[in-house]
Amino acid sequence: MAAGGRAAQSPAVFGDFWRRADALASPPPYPDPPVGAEQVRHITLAVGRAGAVMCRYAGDIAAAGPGVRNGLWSHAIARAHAATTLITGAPRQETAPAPTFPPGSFAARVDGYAAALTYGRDLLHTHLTTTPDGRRRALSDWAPVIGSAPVNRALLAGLADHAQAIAGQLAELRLAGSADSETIAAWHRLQGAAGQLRELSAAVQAAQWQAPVLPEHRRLLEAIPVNVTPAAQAPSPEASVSDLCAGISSTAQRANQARRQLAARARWSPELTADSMRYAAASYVVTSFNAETVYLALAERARQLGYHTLVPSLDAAAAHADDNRRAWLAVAHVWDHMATDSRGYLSRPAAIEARNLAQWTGRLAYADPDWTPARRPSHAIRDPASLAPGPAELAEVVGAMHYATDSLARAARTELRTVRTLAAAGRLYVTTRSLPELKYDVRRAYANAPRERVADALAIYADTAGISRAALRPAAEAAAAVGAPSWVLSAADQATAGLVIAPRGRLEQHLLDLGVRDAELLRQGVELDETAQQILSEAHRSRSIRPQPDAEVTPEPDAEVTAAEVGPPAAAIDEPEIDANLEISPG
Amino acid sequence: MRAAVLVGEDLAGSIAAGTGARLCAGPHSPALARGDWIPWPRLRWTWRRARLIAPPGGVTSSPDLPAAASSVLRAEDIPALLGAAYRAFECALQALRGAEDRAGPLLPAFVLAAAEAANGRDAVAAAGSFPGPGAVLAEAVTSLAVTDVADQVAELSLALSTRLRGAETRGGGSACAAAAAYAGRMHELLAPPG
Repeated sequence: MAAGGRAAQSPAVFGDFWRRADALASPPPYPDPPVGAEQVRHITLAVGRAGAVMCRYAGDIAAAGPGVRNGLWSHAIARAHAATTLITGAPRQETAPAPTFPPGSFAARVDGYAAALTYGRDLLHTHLTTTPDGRRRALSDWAPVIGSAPVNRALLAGLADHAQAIAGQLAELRLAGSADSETIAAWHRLQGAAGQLRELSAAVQAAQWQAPVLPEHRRLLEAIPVNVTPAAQAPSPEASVSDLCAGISSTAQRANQARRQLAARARWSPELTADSMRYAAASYVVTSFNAETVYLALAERARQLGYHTLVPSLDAAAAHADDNRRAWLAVAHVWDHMATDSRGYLSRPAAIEARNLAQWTGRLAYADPDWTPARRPSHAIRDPASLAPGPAELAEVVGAMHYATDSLARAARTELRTVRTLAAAGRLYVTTRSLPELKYDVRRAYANAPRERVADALAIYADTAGISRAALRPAAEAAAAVGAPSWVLSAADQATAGLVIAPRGRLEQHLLDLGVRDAELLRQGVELDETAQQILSEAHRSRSIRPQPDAEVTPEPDAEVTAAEVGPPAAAIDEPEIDANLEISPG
Repeated sequence: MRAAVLVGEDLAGSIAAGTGARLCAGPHSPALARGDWIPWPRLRWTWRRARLIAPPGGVTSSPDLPAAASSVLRAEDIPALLGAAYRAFECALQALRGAEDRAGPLLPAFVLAAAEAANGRDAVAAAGSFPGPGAVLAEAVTSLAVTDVADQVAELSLALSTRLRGAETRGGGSACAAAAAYAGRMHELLAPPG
């Protein structure tokens, strides 16, 4: 995720179009002159277009995730859909050829409003795609935010504001003296449309009294960027701290995207090799190590600058980065003797981006402008005063490290899902030398991963997901305290809090909450969770799930993902089995 | 917490499992001496920072890396070389893992080199003439300082890289080339400065 604070070359955000639409929907400082037949026809066309695009937004909102339609919001969404559909001839008018409206006229403003809304909707839809069976599939980490209740309510509340403003201007339209009967009828239809728009506004107003839309949710909506992958960059020795911070943010975004794409192909992709997983895990260890170094330097600098209230959260962020390092080290150990069924030496973008993030954070942490992870003569840490000379730079560095920490948390969640998919697809193998029951000489280097090894690996990934998520809190607190541009990460996290897929299954989590640490009990819990997940996946596949409109549906961890990505049940992997046909071929 | 703590063995044991003790006596904390009282928040910062910048230290048990390098250099044919290389990569992996807790600022190099070692081992196993990993034998273990582990793994990886690259042209195939590349990267990561 990126956006938040915007530099000159930042990608477009939804707010660019939304604010334009807002300005065009608002009444001008001058009164509109009385309208004749041609103007009425123009306004009818423009209002029809605006109604059509508002109708599409209302449809999107109605199809959004759980929680959007709670209470009076359900009525408001229904009302919005009905009102925008009813606006005179909306679908037909939309296909009419576009006339050139006189600049500054009411028709031109409403038409411009419709265009801005359309561009905004197109921007939001860059994060989603629709599968052949009509389901939405996320294309970025912003997709859950776009489907979240707070963002959809902010969107509907904004549309209601626009509807109110346009309705007010329609109501004030005066016909020129010599209007024919057709024009008068069209004018009446416009007044009917104004009534529909007012009703939409009133319904949303009522819903807002029950559950108001918060300003931060409107801000979050406006901060949603177009789904583009930032260009890959390598840190140059001349890079300033500001360049390094920008590099960390964009590399974190690239890493998130690459991982997400790889995870979606985990069931079959030959790119998913042990090499990729090892590089990634090792790089996350290095990034965590560097993050600890930077946070400690920031804490020292905060003390020097007299920002004593900031120090505890920076210290806590450093401590959590250290926890992160240990957790990722445990993940790295998992892959020492585990492999997948394919080997690819060339294509491993997720691992490369992870390594780039380690490189960028290292350049920020260390004084050597040519820092690499290799053994070097000097490992001097960057002087805190040069890292953050003043408050603005402090905020910038805190924001960049928030992005890095966020990327580590996303990595843990995504990789947990990836390993689950690999296990379910029977793609995991272990070295025969690592099997305690196979101490005799065997020719084959690999065996199918025994169930307990898979369970251990999943437990380590789940722990890492929990630890890296915990590390986000102090990082976000520090970012909020300094007003860092990474505020958007916390806002998005809060907006989707109800939708976050727990890294552990429910039973396993419950056992852990009860203080159970017995490995065998936890393993049984994981197995039961997996069984529950398979049943839910079957239910999703058979389309027998039809939630009631007002029901709160809590997604089962990974059920839909599993349904989408896992085909027939994987072969049993109870016992290590030497696979006589297994050839892991190079290249 | 504003309480002060006594710098000494207890601190080393309870906080840092060894690194705290180095902090107290290390070159990067001249202001600290055994028995000094310092405020807890300051100590926390000082200790953590010192752990990150202090030179790697301590002794770690490691497989016999020179012996592994020697068996790689002595291998007479491709299957023997592949078998020796497999075990050498495993030795390097084990040595790096054993030392990473004490690696200090060398941690990035150690962790990335360990990934290369595991990848190199797997690449060797993919070679057509790989004789098999063999049984797990009790191997000799030596005590090494962290920098010695880095030096010896660097030497081993140079031997691996040289022999495997040579084997590529003598029928070892692309698996040997890939394994040689992994060994080369291990060497780049761990070669002594200068």
